[in-house]
Amino acid sequence: MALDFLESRDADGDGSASDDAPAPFLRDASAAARSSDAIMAGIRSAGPLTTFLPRPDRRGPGLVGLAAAAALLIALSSLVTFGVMRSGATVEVRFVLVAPDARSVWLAADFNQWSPDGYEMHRTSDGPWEITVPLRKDKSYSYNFIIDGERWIADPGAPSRVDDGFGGASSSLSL
Amino acid sequence: MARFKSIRFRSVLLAASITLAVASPVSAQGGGQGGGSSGGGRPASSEPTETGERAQPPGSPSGADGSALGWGTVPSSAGDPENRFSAWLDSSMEGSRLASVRERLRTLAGPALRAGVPLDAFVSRVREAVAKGAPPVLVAEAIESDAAAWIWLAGILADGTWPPENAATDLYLAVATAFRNGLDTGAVSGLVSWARVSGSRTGKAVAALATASAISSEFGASGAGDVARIVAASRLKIGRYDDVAALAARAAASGIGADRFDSALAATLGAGGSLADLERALFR
Repeated sequence: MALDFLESRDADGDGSASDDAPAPFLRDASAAARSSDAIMAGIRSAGPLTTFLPRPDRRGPGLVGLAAAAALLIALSSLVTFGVMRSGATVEVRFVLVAPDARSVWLAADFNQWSPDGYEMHRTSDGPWEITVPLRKDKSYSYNFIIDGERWIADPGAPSRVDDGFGGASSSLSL
Repeated sequence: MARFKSIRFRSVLLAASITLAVASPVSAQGGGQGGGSSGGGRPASSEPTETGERAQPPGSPSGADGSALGWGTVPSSAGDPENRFSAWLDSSMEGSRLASVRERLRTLAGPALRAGVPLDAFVSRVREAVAKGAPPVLVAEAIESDAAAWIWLAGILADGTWPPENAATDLYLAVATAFRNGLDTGAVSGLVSWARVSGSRTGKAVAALATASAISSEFGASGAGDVARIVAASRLKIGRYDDVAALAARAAASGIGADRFDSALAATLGAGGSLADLERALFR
């Protein structure tokens, strides 16, 4: 239900959509037929329809570009995997941490008021800890992982890491 | 044949879009349940409510009405910000843990709150500090430094034209992070001026500041001079900003200095180029 609430808002969250219903469109049938004829005549005189169709782009990316893109993708994939399913103003974000010796891992972030016991991550069958959180797009977030309830760490795979001012570091994530 | 291919390609795209649009809510409601969830499953949405309060995270020890001491206790919306902050410090678990510096926090917050700094910025930083178990004296020092940055920011935002009130807290927090990680007033005021003139969304400026903070942190205090403004003004979507930080980290690891990174950024993203252009400029 919370997601429905989020989806109903625009990216700025100001809920600027209008509630005004459009006025009914009433029109005389014979006038409609006349204007339809006029429009179709205009289209026929404009020439073949293919003029307006987009042509396939036959340019291909260079091998170097493809390799660079692949390398960048691989470098980033270890940190946060974005959910494939995107909906309106929110994105499903999967946070992943490889911590084989941890007994528990929690996610604390500005989006959960830094609560250390809000989001418990789950160990997947193949080892990493993970949790999926719906977050609003067009924003940036700060987060940490908490290992065994006491050790706060920044995401070791995240490229954006900042000094938190309290003797540690946080990771940031932009969506 | 070319036309057929084009139409077929567009049809496939359209079909995929419709499938995703239909599937998304279903996935969102069920997402996160997999992977052997041992407790909690998918979190409820974590976004702020319209009033600026935040949804209660599952498992939070505080009551839903915010009356109990604990995470999620929200300052009252009645009264002036100074009194609300003071009352929150007196009644919350966070304030209780910082009892030894509570008066200092009250004193340093007063001028900032009177200058227009959002109360939520203070509350967010105090919550983060207490959650992380930072020593009270360190918390007071850090928030004192944040407050100085915020008073400066309130001064340059005094005309009230930007940002919108509901996005101000994010901007204040991002600016404090930026200063803490080496950006200077010139970098931030350049970004604010650009955002004000361009009518940019606050989210863009905030995310650009986060990126610039990470880059500055990567290169040291001298880095990221104009990075925030260039990134915000570029044609990149916010979701790609972390890729810029990833390239900066890669550049720093390769021995590329802050000056070269800044000039490559200006010559590529700053001139309408792409991330691939930036990567080529750095590593060709």
